[in-house]
Amino acid sequence: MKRYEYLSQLEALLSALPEAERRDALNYYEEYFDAAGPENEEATAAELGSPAEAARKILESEGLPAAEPQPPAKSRAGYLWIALIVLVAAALVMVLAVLMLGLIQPGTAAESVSVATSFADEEPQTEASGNPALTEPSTTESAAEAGSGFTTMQTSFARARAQDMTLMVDYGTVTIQTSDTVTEAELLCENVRTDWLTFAGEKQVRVTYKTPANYNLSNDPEPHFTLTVPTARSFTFHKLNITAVMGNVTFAGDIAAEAVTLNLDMGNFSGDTVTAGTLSAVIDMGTFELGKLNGAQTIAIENSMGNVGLTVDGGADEYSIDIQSDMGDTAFNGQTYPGGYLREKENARSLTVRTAMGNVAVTTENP
Amino acid sequence: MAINTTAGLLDAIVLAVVGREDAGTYGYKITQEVRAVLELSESTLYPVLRRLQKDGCLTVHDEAFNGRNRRYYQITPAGRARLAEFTAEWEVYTAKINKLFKGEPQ
Repeated sequence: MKRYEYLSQLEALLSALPEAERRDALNYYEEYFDAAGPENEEATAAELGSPAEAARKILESEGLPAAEPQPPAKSRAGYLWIALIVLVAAALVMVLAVLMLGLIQPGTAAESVSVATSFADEEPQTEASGNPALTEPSTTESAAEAGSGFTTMQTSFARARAQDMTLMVDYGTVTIQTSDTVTEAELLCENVRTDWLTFAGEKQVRVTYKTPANYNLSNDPEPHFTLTVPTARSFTFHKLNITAVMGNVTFAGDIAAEAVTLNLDMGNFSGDTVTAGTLSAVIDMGTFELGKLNGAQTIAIENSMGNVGLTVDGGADEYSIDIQSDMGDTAFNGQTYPGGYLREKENARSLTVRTAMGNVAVTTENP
Repeated sequence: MAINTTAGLLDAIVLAVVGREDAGTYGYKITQEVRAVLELSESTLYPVLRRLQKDGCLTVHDEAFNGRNRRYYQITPAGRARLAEFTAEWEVYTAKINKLFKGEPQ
């Protein structure tokens, strides 16, 4: 079997382990496959025996009962079934969301209007002299429509704080964009419940939007989080971390960061231009499309279900490349490589793209 | 006929293999070197390495290799002590059995 299959089965069989122990075990076997050589993936998996065997040994040594053995012929089909069911469930959620949005009350339109006016009226924010990190974020909030419970709010963060930015959103879209007219970072949160929204961090910005467990989101309008920062000429993130559980993430314009980390459970990522030293993206279900990535030393993209499209600067020989799709097509600089494209290089920029189910197309600016 | 490898013997073999490298060595390499000495399934090693680490006989450190992470295992003084203890017992044990098999008096 392929490496991805082995590791994902092993992960499932180790679900009784605490997170840290499970991570350690998976890392060990990932490194094992790496060391054995990617071209020997199938042989290595065969030599390791079944994931059930490895899992049993690990669980026994931790004093836990082993999971029920699965008949091998069934497990492969089993995973496809699960994937199908998840796809159908996701499709249903989308359909419900569209239907619900179509029935929005007229009152909500009035809310958006009031935000537009408060924008225009707002005085330009100036940083307090001396200690920008301790300035309280300034916020304007429009009054919630009685009974709807959702608000739209606008917050500003001092530049120095905003450079270390983490957004963790259970539900809603996230957009990062640049503008010539802002001097600080401005975050617009639309259709949010304020008691689910937290702002934290002294020298950084941590925004969390946490929906309660078992809460039925299908009746709610979709929240939107839009962060506007000054242009790349004058503003670079140290760290830009985005976790979006259900919603798309979009980068508009040229976004500059030292490190970008993206975690999407169910949503698409699309970006125009990113200049970053490190780009790491993990997507469970959705597409990854980035028009141009400049200046990256380390690029790691993992997609469980969805396509990946990416163009990077520089030439193909500047990178150590590992591109692989378990169940899809791999294309590098316009050429198809059925088994994936691997060309490792020491002391080179690192480019790794892995998908389980989806096509990968990677292009370098200079072939 | 297969000779059973007890858990204690396997621990000692792993400690001896890891102990050969001053700078430490990594999972895949350890597995290959142990398999050069005795037959065992490749998935047997991870729990052993884990247990020896928890017992303080091995330490780990992570290093980047070709842009990826690689975990290295190193023997500790406590590990060397356990190996020495086992080796001493092993000498006595095998000496007695060898004498028996060769028909020599104990």
